[in-house]
Amino acid sequence: MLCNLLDQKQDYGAAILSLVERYVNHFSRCYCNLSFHEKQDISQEVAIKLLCYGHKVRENCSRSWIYALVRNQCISFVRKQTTELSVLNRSTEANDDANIVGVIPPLAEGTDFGMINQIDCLQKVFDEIEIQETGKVDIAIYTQYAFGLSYVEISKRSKRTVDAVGRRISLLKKRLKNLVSEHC
Amino acid sequence: MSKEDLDQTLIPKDDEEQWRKVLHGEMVPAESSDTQLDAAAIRSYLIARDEVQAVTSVAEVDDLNVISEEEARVVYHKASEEIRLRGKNTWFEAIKKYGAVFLIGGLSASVLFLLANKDTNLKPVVPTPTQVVDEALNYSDYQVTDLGKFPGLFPNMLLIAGGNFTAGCSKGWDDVPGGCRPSEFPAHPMSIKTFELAQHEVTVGQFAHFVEQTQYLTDAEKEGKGCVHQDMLTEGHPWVMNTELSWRNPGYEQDDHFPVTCISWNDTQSYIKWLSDETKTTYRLPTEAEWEYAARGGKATAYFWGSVASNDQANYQGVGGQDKWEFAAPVGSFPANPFSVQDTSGNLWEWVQDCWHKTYHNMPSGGVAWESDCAGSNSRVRRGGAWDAGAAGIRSAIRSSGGEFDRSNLYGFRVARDWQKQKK
Repeated sequence: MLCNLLDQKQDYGAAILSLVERYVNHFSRCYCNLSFHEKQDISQEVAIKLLCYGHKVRENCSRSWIYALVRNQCISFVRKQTTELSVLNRSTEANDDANIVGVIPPLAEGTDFGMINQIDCLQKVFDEIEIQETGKVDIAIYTQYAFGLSYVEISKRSKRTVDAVGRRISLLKKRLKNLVSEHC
Repeated sequence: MSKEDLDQTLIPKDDEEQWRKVLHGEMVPAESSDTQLDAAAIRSYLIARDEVQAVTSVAEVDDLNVISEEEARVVYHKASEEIRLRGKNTWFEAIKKYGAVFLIGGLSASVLFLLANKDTNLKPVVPTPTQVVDEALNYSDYQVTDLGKFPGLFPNMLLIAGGNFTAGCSKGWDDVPGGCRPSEFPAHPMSIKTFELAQHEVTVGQFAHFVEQTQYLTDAEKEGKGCVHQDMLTEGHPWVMNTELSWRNPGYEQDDHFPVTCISWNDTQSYIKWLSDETKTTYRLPTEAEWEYAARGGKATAYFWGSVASNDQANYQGVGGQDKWEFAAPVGSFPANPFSVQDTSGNLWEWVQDCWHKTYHNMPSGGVAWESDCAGSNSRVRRGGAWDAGAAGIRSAIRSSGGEFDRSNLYGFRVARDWQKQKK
């Protein structure tokens, strides 16, 4: 997909740009409510990064890399607008590559050890959380936290207080422990 | 049992804090800590889960909105241009910052600088709808009516050379004036054979000639129900049927040069049959694909003149510039597009041959009328928007539906013909 964009051949990158668009729409819908023009701006920035940095990963470009690229662009964009800087933002600014490609540990990393050593197990646990009354909102909060957003940032987007967000995150570990023992 | 347990090392007190930091992506998990590795696994899982959701749970509009090859080329072009411009800025910034060194270093330094910043393979590609010009086409057989002049008793037909284009809403092009309707997706490549299209909408004078010859009664007249118009005297200005309205009196002043309105799709068929008999040539409504191809005039922009609606180019909501008409305008009052076709944007919606489908999914190729899988709706497609529409409502990609017997003082039509290669 990426090579078609970089080399302007076959579909000229239509597939990869459609995927970018899909991710942008997803982030807008789920986390940051972007306007039409903001989405256009983000897509353009991602396209620029694909052209500038794509050659580094042209042979092993993964969906998760593109996803991270879009996700980070959306976060950067929203942060620029709100001029908020979380701890993570400051730390990643020092590392351009990390800021561009994101820091996503490969899934396999989590399968070798620990109490939660099965993807199936995690799937069951989070499916269980999702069907609970506030499950979808909770998972959205956890996911945004995993993205590196601060409590304040999550609070603004989830319309919960900062304390409430902090409590949800703190409770997660205990909650997971109980659910793992129950479902895995 | 953890490594700390095996080594009999102390478990840090801030275990909870580290778990949180790893989950947050602030620190890399220590391989010796199961807790931290668990947090890393959860983080990975949450992100991966979100990625899967991004791809699988998609809004209907997004699902239809797939970027076409043409759009991809445009995105590539825009991104390349932006990279070039930013590269230029970097160059000037560098001169400002290192001005003295630059002067001393002279040409050799600048050459090195440029070489270091040289980005390869970024050749902009501008999309151009392909127009295949057939040597056999003889344009001298066709006369274009000048701006502000009117056609005679029969429609003035133009030769539209076939070609390829992208039909429907292309992101970054057709949606610029404020978005596209879901029915305009997905954008799709379309190939059009050479055909003939009327330069203007059928006029009141042309329709009157038909009625004089045939004593035809339109659906608005023979059913005695009239024609739909916007009732400006009632609160909310609803669109209602007015028994007093018909093509003869559409609710505003008109003369023979105005486009005929209050005409149903069914009425268009009667006119076309008469016109074909009268001229011994087979006329028809344009297909939807032909109509859009001609309306775009070889342009990918939202309007044939560009990306911003203009009262100097079309008759739509309000007055201003060349648009002096609150309602419909006489045909040929606005500039023609590159194919010499006029009034496709605004003035009156124009009936086309195709029946209505909610999206372009499974549309047949080749520019033929899509009259299968109509789901018995008896709805037909109308294109181009009308005098009441806002800027987004007169885009080349805009489309809407109407029943075969529906009539309104927003609806009109133009005619088309197959092109015969041997025609002289």
